[in-house]
Amino acid sequence: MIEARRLVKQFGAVSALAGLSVEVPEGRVGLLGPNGAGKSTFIKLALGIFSPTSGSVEVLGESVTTAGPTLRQRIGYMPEHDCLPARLTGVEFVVEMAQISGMARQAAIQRTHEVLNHLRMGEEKYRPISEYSGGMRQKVKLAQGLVHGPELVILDEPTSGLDPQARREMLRTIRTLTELGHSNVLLSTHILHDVEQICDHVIIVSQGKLQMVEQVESLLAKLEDWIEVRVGEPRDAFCAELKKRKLDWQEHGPALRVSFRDDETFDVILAAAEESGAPLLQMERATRALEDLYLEVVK
Amino acid sequence: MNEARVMERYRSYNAVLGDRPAIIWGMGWREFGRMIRNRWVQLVIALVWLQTLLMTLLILPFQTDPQPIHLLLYGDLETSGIRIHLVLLAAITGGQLISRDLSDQSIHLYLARPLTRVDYLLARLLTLLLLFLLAALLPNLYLTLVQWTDNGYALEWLGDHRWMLLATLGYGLAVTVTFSLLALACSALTSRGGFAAAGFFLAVYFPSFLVETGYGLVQDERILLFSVLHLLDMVGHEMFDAPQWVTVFGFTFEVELGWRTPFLLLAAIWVATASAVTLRLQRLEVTR
Repeated sequence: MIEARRLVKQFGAVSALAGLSVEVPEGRVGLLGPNGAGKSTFIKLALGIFSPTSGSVEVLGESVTTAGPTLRQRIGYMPEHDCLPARLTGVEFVVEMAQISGMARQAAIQRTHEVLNHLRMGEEKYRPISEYSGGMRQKVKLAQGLVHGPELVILDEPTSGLDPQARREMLRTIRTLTELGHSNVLLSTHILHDVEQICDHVIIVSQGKLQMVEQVESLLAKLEDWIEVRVGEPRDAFCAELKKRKLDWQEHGPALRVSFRDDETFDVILAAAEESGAPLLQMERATRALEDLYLEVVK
Repeated sequence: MNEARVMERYRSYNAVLGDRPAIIWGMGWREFGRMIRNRWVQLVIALVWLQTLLMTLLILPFQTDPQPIHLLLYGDLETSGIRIHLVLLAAITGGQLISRDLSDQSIHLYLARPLTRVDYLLARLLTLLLLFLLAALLPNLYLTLVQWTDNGYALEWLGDHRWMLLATLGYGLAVTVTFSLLALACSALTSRGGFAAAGFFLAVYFPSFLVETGYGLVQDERILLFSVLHLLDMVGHEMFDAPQWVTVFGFTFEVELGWRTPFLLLAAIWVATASAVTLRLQRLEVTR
């Protein structure tokens, strides 16, 4: 979907991207990274809004540099910040954006109503945007990004500033509409939960460099769930008993991390301690969440 | 239509999208449509038309040579021209066009569409060109028509005065593009429409006041080249192949600066203002 090769973007002395090479696969992809990681710069380069200092980007099989702005007809973009003209109604604005994407007036009007209806906007779509709530403004921003039926939708923090219920609804809508329209999605966010909810793949960038590209499913499978155990001597005998009972373990300082299989794992550990004669000093279940993994990668 | 059919329609949707020239034209035209609904814009255009009508009735019958009438129409207050209205029109329309997009930040959405910064500028310029067409060019063409009818509807008269038609179009375009680009440049500098309009007014009239004072002091006609209004006067007279007359504090003076310098300076103003707007938009994207 997007292929970046040794992408560098300098703003004076500041390096926003430092040789980023990444192949963004098709489907719904989450772009994760802390503030200043280079996510927005990467998006702007993918949209062709500014040129890279060096390196190249291909989007939907076309070079951003040679394809020019017409490539953006195939892309929908929902920015993070508020950018809606208060003087227009929701319908007027989305129709205008559809026409600026190249749609004819009649088609733009019809499609605008379809998209806004899918977003569950009723009569309020005829009200001036200045009267809209935060959730409605987000919906209009999403609608203008989807109205021209783009092959790729780039969403920058789409759930930013929404209450939990509106957030859930927005995520569901994004999933439904992009599934229906067969659009690829690049979701830039800080919120790991949003990525888990929507995306098939996750890309983590930090300090302008790629840190990880992984399938969300396999990433979640990799997340460890273990029981931290401390035992007295003979520790080796205890480990041998664990092995005999087909339990994996890892040394972790003075403790052992024993893989958690199910609730019976605790009984198995107790039995191994009893058999080996090693006194059990501590037994506590621990997990490593996606957030821990993200923080480790970013560090 | 039941929900399944609506879903199917959404699923199978394949947009037919136009090309960039069509997008730019459409964007300019739709904004023109919105602008023309503004009561103040309507008022200024009505004043321009009224003034043209009065000129046709009061001045034209005593005019023997057809060319100065057009220059009078474009002239300043002292020559009962409509220039002040054109400046006013550019201020209230062009002054807010870009500043409004900067203020609500919708500019970022426009630039993420299939438009370059220059395309965006052209679309905004087109809106102003259409407004000026209505406010300035059409009244001037009307003047040409009136002079033709006063000359007995003779087709030969039109043939003999083809230069006048071309000069009217050319000068109309020169005034329009100059004021529009200046107004857009002021508009791109601030997100407050009022400041942009005031800045444009100052950019047009303050240098004019300064150079007229300077001319009064040093009597060097080259100083007049630093004022857009005087530059337009010179270009206009050259286009109509008339001696270069400029107005200084209400008095008219003939100057001899040739055609090359005023034309080149005007072109330089166009390039500088258009570049200033695109650079400003570029900076804006970087800092976002």
